[in-house]
Amino acid sequence: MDNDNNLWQGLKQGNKEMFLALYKKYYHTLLFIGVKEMKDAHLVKDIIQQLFLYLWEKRETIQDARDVRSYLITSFLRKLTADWKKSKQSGLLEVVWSSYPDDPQPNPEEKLIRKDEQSHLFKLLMDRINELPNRQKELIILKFYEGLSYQEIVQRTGLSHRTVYNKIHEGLKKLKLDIVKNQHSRSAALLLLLNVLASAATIAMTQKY
Amino acid sequence: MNDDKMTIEELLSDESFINYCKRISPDDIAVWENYIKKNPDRALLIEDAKEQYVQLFNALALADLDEQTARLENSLEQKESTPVVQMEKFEKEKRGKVLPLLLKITAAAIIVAGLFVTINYFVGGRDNRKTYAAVYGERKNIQLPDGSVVTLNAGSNIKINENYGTTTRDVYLEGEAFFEVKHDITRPFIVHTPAMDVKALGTAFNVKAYLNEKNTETSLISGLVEVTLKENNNLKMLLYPNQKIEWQNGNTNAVNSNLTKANKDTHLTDSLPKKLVVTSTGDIKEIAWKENKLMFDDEEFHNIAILLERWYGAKINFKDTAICHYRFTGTYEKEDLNTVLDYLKESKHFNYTIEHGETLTINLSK
Repeated sequence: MDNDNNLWQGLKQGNKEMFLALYKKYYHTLLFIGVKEMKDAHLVKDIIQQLFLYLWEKRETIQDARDVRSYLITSFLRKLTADWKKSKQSGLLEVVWSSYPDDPQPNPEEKLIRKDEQSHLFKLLMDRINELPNRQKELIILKFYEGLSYQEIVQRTGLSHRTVYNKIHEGLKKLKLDIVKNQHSRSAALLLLLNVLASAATIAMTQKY
Repeated sequence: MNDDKMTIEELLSDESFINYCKRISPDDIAVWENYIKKNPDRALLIEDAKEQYVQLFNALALADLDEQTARLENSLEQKESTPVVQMEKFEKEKRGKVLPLLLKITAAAIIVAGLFVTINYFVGGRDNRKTYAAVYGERKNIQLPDGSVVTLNAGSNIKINENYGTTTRDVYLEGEAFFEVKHDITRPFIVHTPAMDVKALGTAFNVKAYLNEKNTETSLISGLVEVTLKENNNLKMLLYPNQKIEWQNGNTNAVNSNLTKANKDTHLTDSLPKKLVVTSTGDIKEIAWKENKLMFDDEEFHNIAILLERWYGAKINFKDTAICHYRFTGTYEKEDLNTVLDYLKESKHFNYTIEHGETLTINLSK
C-alpha cells in the first residue's frame, strides 16, 4: 500500500518511470476484471490505455488516492461501462459495482503471475507460441490467457466446439513437443562436443608419446 | 477422466482442470484433489500439467504486458512530440511570441520563414479571420477557444472568425485535420470545406480536403456528424462511428442531367458511407497521420510522393514517368526520408538523388 502511494505521488510529480511502474503493476488486475465483464480483451486493453493516458494528462490536478487499487478499479469500471453503453450492447452487461472497490483481494490470475522469474524460459516458450499457425495461437491466447470458456470461444469465433478443442489440443502438443525437441537437440550438441573434446584429448595423448 | 493414457495436453485442454489450476471453482478443486487421492501414481503428472499451465499463462501475460507497455510509452512520446499551441486572444498578434515558439517546434529556419509569410498575409487585416497553419514537414495541435482540439496535418490550415463560438463554432479547413470537439449542444461545431460541410455536436473525426487532391473525405471515430455535400444539392447525410464518406471534388453536376445514368449511379454509391478498416496493428489508415504514422496502402508512387512532400517538407521530381505508377504499401513511424526511399527501392527498383537547396529536392529515375 505504501508503495502504491509512492507510485501515485510519482505520477503526480510527472515521474514517467513511476507512472509506468504503476501501469505495469495494475495492468493485469484491470485486464482480468475487464475481460470477466465483457469478454473482449482488445477493447479492455484500449480502455486501460485510455485510463492511464488520462491520468498522465491530468496528473497535476488529480487528487490523492486513499486506496490506489480501489481508485484505479473504480475509475476503470466507470470507463468500461460508459464505453460499453456507447457501443449499444449495454443489455448484455450488468456490472456488479460494489464487489470490486471494497474487495482488495487479488484476482485468481494475478496470483498466477510470477513477475519476471525465469524470464528466459518464458521467452523460449513465447517464441514457440509465435511459431504456431495464427488460428491456433489466437485460440491458445483466448483459452489460457484471457480465460474464456469453450462456450465463449465458440460464440466469439463461430467455430464448432470440436474444432476449437482439437485446435487447442493440437497447439498444445506442438508447444510441448517443440520444447522437448529443443532440449534434445541441445543435449545432442553437448554430447557431440564432449566426443570432440575426448577425441582431441586422445589425439593429444598419442602425439605426446 | 478415467482413461489410462491421460496426457498433459488432455489435462490442459480440460476446462475443469484449468479452473482447478486457477483455483476459481471449489467444485473443480474438489474434483481434482479427490482424483489425486485416488490415483497417487498420477500425482506427478497432475503437478507437471499444473506447472505447464502456469508457465504458459505467464509467458502470455509477460509478452502482453511488454507489448502494452510499449504501446503506452509510444502514446506518451507522441503526446510530447506534438506541441499544443494555445489559441491567443483575437485582437492582437504577438509576433515576438509566435516566432520563438515556432523555432522550438522546428529547427528548419526556412519553414519558419514560410509560416511567417502566411501569418503576415492573413493578419494583413483584410478580414477578421484568425489562421493557424502547419506547413510541410510538421504537424500541430491547436486548442480552440472553446477547448476543442484540432490536430493539423502537414500543409494544412484552419481559419476561425472573431465571433467563433457565439452562436456556432465555424472552422474553415484547407488540407487535413483531426477534430476532437468539446461537447456543447447549443453551439454546433461546423467544419467548412469547398465540397462538404461537417457538423458535429461533440465528437472525434477527421476531415481531409487538400486543394491539390481530387477527393474530400470525412472519417468519423466517435460520436455523430452530419455531412452536407455542397456540390450535391446540399444533400445531408449522417455518419456513424467508423464510417467515412468520400466525395470527388468538382462533381457539381452529379445529380443534374449532365451525367449518364450509369455514371450517376456509380457516383451516388461512391458518396455512400464506407466502413473504416482497422489494420492488424490496430491502426486506422485515415487517422494514422495523427499518431505520427506515415501510411499508404497499395497506392501509386505519384500519390505517395504528394504524401512524402507534405510529411518531410521536400520536393519530389519524377524523371521517369514509368516510376509514377509503381505501387507500394507501407507504414513508417520515425524513419527519415532517405530510409523510406531505401525501403521502397528494395521492393521496386529505382534510383534517387538528393539536392540540398533551399528545400530538399529528390529526383527519381530508373
